Amino acid sequence: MMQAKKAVNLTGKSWTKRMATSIRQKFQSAKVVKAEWSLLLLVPYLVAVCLFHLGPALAALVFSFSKFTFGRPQIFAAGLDNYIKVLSDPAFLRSYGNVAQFSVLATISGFIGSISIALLLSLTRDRLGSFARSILFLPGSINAAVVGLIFIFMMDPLTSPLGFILRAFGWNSIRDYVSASNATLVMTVIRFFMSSGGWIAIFYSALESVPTELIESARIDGCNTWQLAWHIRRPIIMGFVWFMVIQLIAYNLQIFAEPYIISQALGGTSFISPYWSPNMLGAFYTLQMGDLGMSAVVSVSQTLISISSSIFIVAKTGAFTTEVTG
Amino acid sequence: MATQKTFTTSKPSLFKTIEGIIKHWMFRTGIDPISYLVRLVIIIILVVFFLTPLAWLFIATTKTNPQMVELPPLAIGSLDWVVKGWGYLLMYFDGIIVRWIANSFNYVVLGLIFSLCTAIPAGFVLAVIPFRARKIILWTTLIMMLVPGDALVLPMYIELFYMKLINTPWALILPASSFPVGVYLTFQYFKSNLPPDLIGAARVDGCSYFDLFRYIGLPLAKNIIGVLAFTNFAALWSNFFAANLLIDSQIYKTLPAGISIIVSNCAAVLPAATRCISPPDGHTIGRSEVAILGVISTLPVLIIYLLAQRLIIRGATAGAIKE
Repeated sequence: MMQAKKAVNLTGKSWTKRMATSIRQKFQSAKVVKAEWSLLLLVPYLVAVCLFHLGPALAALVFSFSKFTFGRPQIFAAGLDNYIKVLSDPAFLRSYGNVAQFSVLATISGFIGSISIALLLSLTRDRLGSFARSILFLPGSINAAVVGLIFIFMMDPLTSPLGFILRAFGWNSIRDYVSASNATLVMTVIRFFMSSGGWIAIFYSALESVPTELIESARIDGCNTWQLAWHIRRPIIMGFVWFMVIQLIAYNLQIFAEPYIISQALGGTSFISPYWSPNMLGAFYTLQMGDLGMSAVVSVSQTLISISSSIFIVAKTGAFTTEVTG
Repeated sequence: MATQKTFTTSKPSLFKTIEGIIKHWMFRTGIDPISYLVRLVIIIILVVFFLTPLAWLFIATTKTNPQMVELPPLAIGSLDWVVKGWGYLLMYFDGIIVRWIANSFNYVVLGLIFSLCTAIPAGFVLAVIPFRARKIILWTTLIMMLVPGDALVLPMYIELFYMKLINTPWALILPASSFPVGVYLTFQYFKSNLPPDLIGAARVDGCSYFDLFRYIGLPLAKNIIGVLAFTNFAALWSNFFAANLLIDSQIYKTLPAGISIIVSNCAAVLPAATRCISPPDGHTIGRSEVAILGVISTLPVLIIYLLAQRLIIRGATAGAIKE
């Protein structure tokens, strides 16, 4: 009797248990199916990234080893020929020499300039600091081509607000004092004018987050205005230093618009050659020479630098990673 | 002795008065007067350096080509000239400039629509749904986000060449749909604004992730759309390298690329060499007209920078500075 009761109970229990398990399983499987369908929301982005970020990089790598006959690629038929052709072109090494020199100057000036200006603006919290930050941010709104043109006018003794100084030196035309040797310097000033405002704004925002109590206690301990800036405020943005330097180098190596428009505008002068930077050279190989193989080699070099600098930023600085790993 | 004490407290010396003023100043501003003065002088120099070229560009549009040289650089000419100069520009290739402006707006608007349509759902999925490949996609997004846009233009030419998209508007519109910065910002936004408890409760109530996106994600996304749109508008509008390389035909060019054509074809910056002559009065396209084009091409982004500076800075700083 007891055994029969137990059996009934057991069967009863197992029946309900089985029902519960089956419902749970059905619910779980339904959840999985719904989750999988909702992953479709990600598909347009994945397709776009594959087509317009990863695809081009891969295509450049493949085409850099390919031979082109009337525009038709013979995949991997060229071996290292394209690389040999590009590396033996003096313009290639010269273009990298130009942007390396420019990159060093522009990165150092951008880095030191932006940090110093942001610290200076944040010495005290007042309207003047916010106003200056807003004004310094504005040149970032001008596109690089127009900035290139503005600086031609700014350098021209006849139109420049500093024309009276230039004319005092006996320079009556831009050609009288601007030459290939100071192209790097001119590009550096242009880049600083264009992009430092953005960095200043970023640093200024970061410096605004310094707690007032910290500043007050440092002041009570005898810190003067400049010591506060150097010892309390500066370390807050210095954690950001690797990120900024690598980003600056990566961006500076990609320079195209400013030298291109200046080269177009001052055509016939030896100030900036039509292949002053690697991107200009790549465009020259593509559009003027129609050599996609050589263009692919330049692309590979530029993409490699950019992607490796990005990986370095993520790995070395840990920037952005908190949310991703969290 | 007592008289002396009364004398010193009631009438402080000049030195003590100045010290009191300085202390009051320091208390109010948190900076000593000399440092404040140094800061003020440097700020004035910086504002002049950063503002003069921009102001010059706007002022130059009011001056005729001879006036550009005759008048002082920052002297205003006449507003009538802006209209006249624009008229001369319209004569260049039967008003192709209007086409360039329209192209710029069309490409930017379509590019924005594509980029928002891919970035917002992707950011939502990455923030809300746990799945196996999530981390790989996020890392790839991070790395792609930090690659400068111009770095991929040359390889993109090669790819688009074989997709037969070179020299069509799609060569500039479609690549905008890959917007890793937007995906990352949306991901970050949903991650901090959609509490896991809320998602869990909605799921227990039988809400699918699709419904969650439709009824909670999309209405919430309104706040991030502004940041994404302003950040991307400036980037798409100013795109020069791609517009120059991927589009050959003049009728599909954008305004910044068109300016380069005028500068090159007309030698407009070199007055002695200028080659573009308008038929009715033999007027030549020169510096003044280039300045007008420069202003037209700057104005849309400048307005956004003036109106939505905080949003743009938020877009630029997101994630970069750890709080």
